[in-house]
Amino acid sequence: MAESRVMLITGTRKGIGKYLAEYYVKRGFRVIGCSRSPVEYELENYRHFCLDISDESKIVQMFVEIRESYEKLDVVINNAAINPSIIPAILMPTSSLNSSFQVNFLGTFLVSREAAKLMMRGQFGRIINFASMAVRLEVPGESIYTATKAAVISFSRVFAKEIHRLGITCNVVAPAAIETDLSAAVDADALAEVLKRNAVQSFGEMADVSNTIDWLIKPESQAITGQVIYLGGV
Amino acid sequence: MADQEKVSRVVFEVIDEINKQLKDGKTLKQSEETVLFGKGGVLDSLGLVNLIVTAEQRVTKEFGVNVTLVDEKAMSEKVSPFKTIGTLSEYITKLLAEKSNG
Repeated sequence: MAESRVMLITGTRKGIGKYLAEYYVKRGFRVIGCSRSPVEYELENYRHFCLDISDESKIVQMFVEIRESYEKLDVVINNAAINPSIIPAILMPTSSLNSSFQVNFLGTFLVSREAAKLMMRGQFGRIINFASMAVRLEVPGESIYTATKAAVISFSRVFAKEIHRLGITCNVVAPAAIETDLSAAVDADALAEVLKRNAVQSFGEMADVSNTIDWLIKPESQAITGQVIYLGGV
Repeated sequence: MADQEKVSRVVFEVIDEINKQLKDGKTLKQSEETVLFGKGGVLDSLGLVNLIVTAEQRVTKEFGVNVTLVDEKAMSEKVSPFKTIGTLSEYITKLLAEKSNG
């Protein structure tokens, strides 16, 4: 029997990241997760790293350990993100901009870069980065969060072109609003108003995300790269 | 501290590994003067990326230190660290010495 596939998911302490860790462990993956704080759950075939994904040395060291323990990496899901200040840009503290870009963009970049180095040896890899419906809907109060996700999209599209020769694809999934701590920070009425602009006007489900990822990470999906998939009919 | 001789040995091992992956009869001669990339070089851009990644991983394994071979410093060197096998060995030795001196 072929050895099970290895997946790294960032931001697995809660929300979509936790759901994906549980989902892919059940599907037979060996899952590695990370977050700033420890997780309060235990899963078989799951290993957790406590780190800040914008800390380059910690990320590099995590990949050294992944290489030594698993000798390969098949899939990366860059899920970790923050949205510290939902306020008009005219009042936006610079610290919110810095922390948002550090986690949402720099973190995604560092993990993608190190993952590609490991994946290239096996001539196979699937990198999934997360954006947001906010990029298309341009929601007031979310200027910086939206800008970080737009940066993720631009980076992913160029990166996809650079790494396809290595057998690696890179795609972006932009979930519709899903009930998580991140969406709970948004005013409920404002969120309902924004969702009215989508084809699917209700909250998205975690399963919508895993269903999309299932398709993107299939070995047969080698021709699907550099794409941005908006869920919810944004 | 890593001596140049040990670094050279590690780099030659990296070259062995790269040679196994090269196609169309291409091969990198085990010599300090062998040009890696650019005019007279054997590697294309993808081959150079592969060499750099493999070298970083081998250095980490052999010396227990994480190094990043491509950074602003590497770009600003008068002679590219990736020009020949010899310049690559010298650059890695220099990086390890800097790490060792804190």
